[in-house]
Amino acid sequence: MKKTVEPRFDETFYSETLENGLKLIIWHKPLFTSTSCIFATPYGALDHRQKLEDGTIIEDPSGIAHFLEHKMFESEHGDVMNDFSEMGANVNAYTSYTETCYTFSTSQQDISKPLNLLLDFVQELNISDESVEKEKGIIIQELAMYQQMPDSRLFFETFKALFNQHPLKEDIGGTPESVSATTKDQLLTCHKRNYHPSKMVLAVVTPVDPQIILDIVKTNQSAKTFEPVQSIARAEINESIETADNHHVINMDVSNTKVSLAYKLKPVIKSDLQRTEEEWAVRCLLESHFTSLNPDYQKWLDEEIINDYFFYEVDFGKDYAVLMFMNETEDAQGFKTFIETQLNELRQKTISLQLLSQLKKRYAGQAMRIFNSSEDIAASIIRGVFGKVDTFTLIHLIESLTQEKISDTFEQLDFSHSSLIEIRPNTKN
Amino acid sequence: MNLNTQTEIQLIHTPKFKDIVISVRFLCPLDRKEALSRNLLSVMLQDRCEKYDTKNKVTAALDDLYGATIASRTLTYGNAHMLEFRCKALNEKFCTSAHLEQQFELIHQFLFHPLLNAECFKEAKDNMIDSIKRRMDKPSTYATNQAMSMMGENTPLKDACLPSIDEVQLLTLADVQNTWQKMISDNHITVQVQGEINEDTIRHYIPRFLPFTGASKNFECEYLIHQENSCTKTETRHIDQSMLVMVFETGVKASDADFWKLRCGNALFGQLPTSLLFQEVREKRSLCYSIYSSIMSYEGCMSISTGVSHERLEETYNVIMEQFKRMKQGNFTEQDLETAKIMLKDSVLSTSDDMNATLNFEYQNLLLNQKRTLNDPLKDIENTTKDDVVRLFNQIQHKVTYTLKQEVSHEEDC
Repeated sequence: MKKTVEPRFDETFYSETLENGLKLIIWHKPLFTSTSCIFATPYGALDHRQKLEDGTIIEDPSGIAHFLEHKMFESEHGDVMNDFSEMGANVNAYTSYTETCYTFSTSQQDISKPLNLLLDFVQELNISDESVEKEKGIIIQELAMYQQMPDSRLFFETFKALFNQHPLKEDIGGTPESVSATTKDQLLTCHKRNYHPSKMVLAVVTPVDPQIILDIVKTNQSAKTFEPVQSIARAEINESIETADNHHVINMDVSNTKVSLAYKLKPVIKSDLQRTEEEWAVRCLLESHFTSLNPDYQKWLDEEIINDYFFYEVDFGKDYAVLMFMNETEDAQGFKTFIETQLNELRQKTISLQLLSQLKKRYAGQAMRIFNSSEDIAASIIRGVFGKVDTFTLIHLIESLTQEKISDTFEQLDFSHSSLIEIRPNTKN
Repeated sequence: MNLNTQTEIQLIHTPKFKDIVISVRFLCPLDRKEALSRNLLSVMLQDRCEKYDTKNKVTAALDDLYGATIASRTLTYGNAHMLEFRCKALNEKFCTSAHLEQQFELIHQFLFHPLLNAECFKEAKDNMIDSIKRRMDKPSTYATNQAMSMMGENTPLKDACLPSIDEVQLLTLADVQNTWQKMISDNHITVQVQGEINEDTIRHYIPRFLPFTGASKNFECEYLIHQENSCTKTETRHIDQSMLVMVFETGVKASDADFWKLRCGNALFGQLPTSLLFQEVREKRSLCYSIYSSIMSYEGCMSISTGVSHERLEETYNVIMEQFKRMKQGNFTEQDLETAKIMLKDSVLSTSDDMNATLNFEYQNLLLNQKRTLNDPLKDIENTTKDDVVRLFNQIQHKVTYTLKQEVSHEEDC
């Protein structure tokens, strides 16, 4: 087991890859009472169309990763949640666009039972046709819940308008139709292909002796055999740079009109580290201009060009790149013109050294704050392994950013392809 | 620890965390108009102050403390209204320069020299109105607020519900200025400092940077709601899912000996994924994605919230009431109760790993005039029996049913 000490952060962790390929990271927090674990696979909502090494394309209904997450909790004798609860452990799970994570936390000092249970239930799927059918009603209600939340809806509609083929155009949970179309056999096959230990990561943040944790995990895994699986990857998407819809308006039960202006950018086809660096370069420049770091920000508020809802998001994925601005305004076209003017201005200048140094200090402090919470540490481990850039590397990367790198990266962005989305209040009868 | 007779000081020394948190809490009796003014003051306090009179300067000051955060919020605790101003900054041992003194100085500037002028007032008022609209746009928040408003008729709970836009419009800058004066001088004030701290240094800084006069706490926070009659209300909106909120009187206050016994019963009834509500309503019948019950400690209430499809509202209501009946009849196993107890104990134990939860636990002692440690609720939980839970559920009275129904056509694409 490899021990790593980060003296600057006063943090210590251990890592090992087991014989079956499972990657284990144990973060030792001797002063904490609780243990938090995440067992994760890099299989998320974007992976419902996959390509085997022999070139075969497998197409499952959208939302299948999320459906599978729901069904994992079923065991031969009932519900795994009950078993965790009887051990005094809180179990949960979540599916993102790129991964599915199963978590538990507990204040019990002997964590062998819940840790074994986590490994066991995630590595074995027990489902019936009947139970799969029953789950559909629950998931469809979950989708309905997010549909009626205005902020979530604005995000869904933004991605829907930006993308033609890319799975980002659909909700993580899929649609009521895709959920209804999902079968037991599809779930079983997905599990077999994407939950092999060689693909997965186990993060354990704990006050318990790391050697004890390693022994528990090794004993558990050595008692199991896993059939070899074909190498599998997300199928390539032939996504045009054109947006699916450049202006979309929907009506909802909201008080103020919500607007999203989103730019579809050319994906950064470089290494994970380079892509992350470029994403942060753009983020630093936008942060310096579209927040209170810019003295004009107050003027924009006073002139009601923006209100306190205004924010931006930048997301550079492996095969997509988007930049979004959200606001509440009755004048969506005026807002679009405003953002375009600002982006053009930004091309003419760069971030000042003083602001860059201020941001570096802020982001270092924020990153350090992750180590206050065992759940946050566990989540950052998973992000770091699957995204290939861990928290320490990210801090170093941000601290190394230069004005030139920021300007050069921004200079290359093409803002020609955008979508404007409006959620307007329903007309009162 | 008291530095003077009025200001309460709570120092929580722990090397677990990277941050130092300083929290200043101002408590006064709940009054609807004053509470609204305090809500607006809370928005203004965290925006700017005389020394840092632009957002730009505030951001620079916070970034200088390695991305420190300031946050102001308001909460009601039964009969009481609390405004908290909190500053969280990285422990200086992880930084290249010492800055604990700077953190205290920053809080001093925001609390003692706020920028309460017409320009800031207008912006805060607009933001508060937008924030209320956004919250009311969320069907679950709207439904809960309506149910609590019904339950709280003629009680302080009604005053704790979200204000109308008209009420906010009536507030003046003078109201907020008066509120700040009263808050600084007449409120019961608590200063909490948490992190890897040197108590002598903190004792030196508090009177220097936070020299409050304040007042002693001479009122009870908790009370028991009692409504003579039950009531039901249904409204409709263009939404995708119907919301059902039910409210009950428990007859148990936060300081009562029965409080943690009730919490055990609630955990078993509807708080946990293993609860009767979650298992019977969601898992067995697929009626909903989310359903939970929760205890309102300072009012003596319990509420149930869920979102279901319009067609299955009645069925959901009936299944919920069947589970309530099961609790009253003791139609659950000893193992069910043991599971609820072990999960509650786990949540109490994990308090010490969470900065916010630790601060809140210590503050609750003050609100309830108690001096309890985490071991006390653990013992209360351990000693809870099935008979306790059945007895307490038999005294619970169902009072309010509020339904926000979905209309058939929920949206139109333009």
